[in-house]
Amino acid sequence: MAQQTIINKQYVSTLSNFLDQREINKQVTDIANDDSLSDILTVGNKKKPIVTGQPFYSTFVNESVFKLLDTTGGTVNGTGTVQINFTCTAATSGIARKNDIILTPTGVISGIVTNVTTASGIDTVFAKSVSGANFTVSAGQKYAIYSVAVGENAVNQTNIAYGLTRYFNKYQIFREISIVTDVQTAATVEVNFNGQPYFQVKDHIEKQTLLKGHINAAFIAGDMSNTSFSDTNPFLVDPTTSGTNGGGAEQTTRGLHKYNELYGNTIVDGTLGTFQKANLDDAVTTLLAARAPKEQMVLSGTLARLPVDTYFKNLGSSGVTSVRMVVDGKELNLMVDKVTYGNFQFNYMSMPIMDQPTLFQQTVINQSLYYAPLNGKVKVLGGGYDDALAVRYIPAQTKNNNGMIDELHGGALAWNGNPTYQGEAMNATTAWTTKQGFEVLGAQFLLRQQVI
Amino acid sequence: MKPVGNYNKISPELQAKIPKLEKSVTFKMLEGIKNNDPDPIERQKQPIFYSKQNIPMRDRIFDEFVKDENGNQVGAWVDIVVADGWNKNEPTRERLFFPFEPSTVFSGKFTLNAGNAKDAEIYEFLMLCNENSEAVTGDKRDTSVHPRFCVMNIQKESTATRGKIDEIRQALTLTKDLSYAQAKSIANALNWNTYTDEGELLAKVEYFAREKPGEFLKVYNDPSKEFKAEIKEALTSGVATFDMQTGQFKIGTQVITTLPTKDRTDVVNYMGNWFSTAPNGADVFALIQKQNKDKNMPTIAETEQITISEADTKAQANVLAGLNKTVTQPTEVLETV
Repeated sequence: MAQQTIINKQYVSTLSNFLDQREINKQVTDIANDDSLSDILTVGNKKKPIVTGQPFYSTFVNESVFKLLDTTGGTVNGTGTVQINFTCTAATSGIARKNDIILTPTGVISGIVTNVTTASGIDTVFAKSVSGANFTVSAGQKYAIYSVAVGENAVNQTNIAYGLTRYFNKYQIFREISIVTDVQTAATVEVNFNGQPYFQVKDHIEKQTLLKGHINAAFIAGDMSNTSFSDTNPFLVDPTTSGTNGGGAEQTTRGLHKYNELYGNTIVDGTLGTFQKANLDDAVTTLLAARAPKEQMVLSGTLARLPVDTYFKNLGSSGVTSVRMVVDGKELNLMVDKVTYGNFQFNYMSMPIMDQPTLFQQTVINQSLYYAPLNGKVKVLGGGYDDALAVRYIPAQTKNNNGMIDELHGGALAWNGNPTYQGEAMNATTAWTTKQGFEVLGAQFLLRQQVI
Repeated sequence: MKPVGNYNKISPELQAKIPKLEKSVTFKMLEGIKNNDPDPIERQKQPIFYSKQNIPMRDRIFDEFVKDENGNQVGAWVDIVVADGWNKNEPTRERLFFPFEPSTVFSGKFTLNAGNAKDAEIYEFLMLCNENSEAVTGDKRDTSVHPRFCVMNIQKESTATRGKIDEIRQALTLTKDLSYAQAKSIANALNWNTYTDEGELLAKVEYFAREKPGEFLKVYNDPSKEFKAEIKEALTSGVATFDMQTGQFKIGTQVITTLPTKDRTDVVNYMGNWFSTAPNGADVFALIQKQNKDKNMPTIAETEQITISEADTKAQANVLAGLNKTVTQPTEVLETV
């Protein structure tokens, strides 16, 4: 109804709830910042996916041909004489043989093994001093078998067979789903996502981030399931079913952390919160003992990186005092990305996923540095090198895919116009699924150092 | 450990609580991860993985015997360190102690020897530190620290081993005179498929008793075993049905209860407990028991054509009519699928 009045703000804003346009920034601010979770397999500027066919996959490692005899907890007889005998730990029994030459640490005295007897899996080794010098030996010492000597017209000594150890892991089926109804597919909203005013676009962006995040997080924190797809009575069963589908056995893959805990090495620094030269020495000592390749990448989140940078840059609590610091214009580079120390080369790399405040915050993962051989630095027996970290995957099996991830379209409004299921439902259903698993070659090289 | 500066200044009383290191002492790690390699040969190589982690040689312990300046026992936190070097009363490097030898299989045990200064120092530290579940600080051990090891008590270990042998003996004795009905009841309670012949089922139960005597005894002595067995049988024969997706446990078309999502993979156990706690549980159970008895283990084909007698239908209607008032029992909040 017409009125005799002026058109002012009050008039327009009360005329209709829909007349006065809302002033909205159409861009949605991303405070979740989840999409920056880096792919663990692209760290080091390389990604190594390996096509696989079976639900679990294996890698074999050899063992060192040089052995140590450990007398910890055993008996050592004959100290101060030229003939000794000692018992070995169970782990170092079955190794020594006649003719082997061992090295005792005190005085670096060499002894030739004259006999080995075994009882209940424990070897007793008898040795004579080769030079006639008296041995000084005690329980707890470790003797390296460093050489061998046989006599004239010798016969074969006992043969030793060196074994292989298998490490294995399983792939995991990751899946995400987006369902948007016909109404909401058509309706526009007042903000834009990728330049488009549809909520569906937002959902797809987020589901992509979620799927990628779940894969990356599993490759770091994942624990391998006991259950395999082949189990006749699986413990882990998919609780989601639809008719006769679903309800299958579930597998999960082992990630970097668990690989390290099972096969690798761990140092927990005595003084957490700081990083000192002694801690670097400990890392070098441990990597050497593990026969790790000298070129290493050191993966961590920002918090675990801070004490390392503080140490290398000699940052005091009250200011920057380092004389080694490179000052370039007005910018100070307080980060150290590459260090060569003790014949090792450490390449420090940040993992944004370890900065994420909810994923691993409650665990030691965010408090640790993970040392792994640099890409292409793990030796292959007989020649050649390979990457330490890799992903095994089943190539995508559906029509719509990117090679690793299958995209399933359902609903009458399916994105590709050809719904493969629930074609009568007025919605757009999109599901993504991928079968991927993590793999570490030479997992005994891994080192985790907890620094905070 | 030699006191240096503010470190290792433990009271003589606490020091006296550390047993003397005579000859050798073996420690054992408390936690390992079972090797779940499907290949038995690989499992045999290393049945349990023990983390190859150092034991940090620095800790802060509570010494309850520390006295104040007036000689009153007040207790205090004391920093203990085993260091490779000292500079101005500060450790330059804490000793890096790994309880295993590199490149060997770590069995979860390690030994320290007497007459060895390094071992003696580490021994004292380990007896005091909070990672030792049986540290000499006793109830003053810092419980916020996760215990990782303790001294191996041979006598205690032997008793535990003997206990396990007793368990096996007891389980095997029980299986000796096990009837088919009892075996079936145990198999049902374990949610096994019981469509096997008598001899096969008895052998299977005997094998289970030998391999997992603890679990066998638990089931054998489980007071709700009969409940569970009847439920399994009811599900097998079609007297009752369970829909994994909706979580509904039904007799005929009547929903008895809806299982929370987390319990849907273990319907037998869940319903076993339900029948013993729900107000009308006993009545419903009696109905199931009766119908099971009437069915007398039908074949799979027969279960698809189950008919309920008129009398049963009437009895069921009466029970279910009463149940309708309490059908939402037990108290768990039902979850949506």
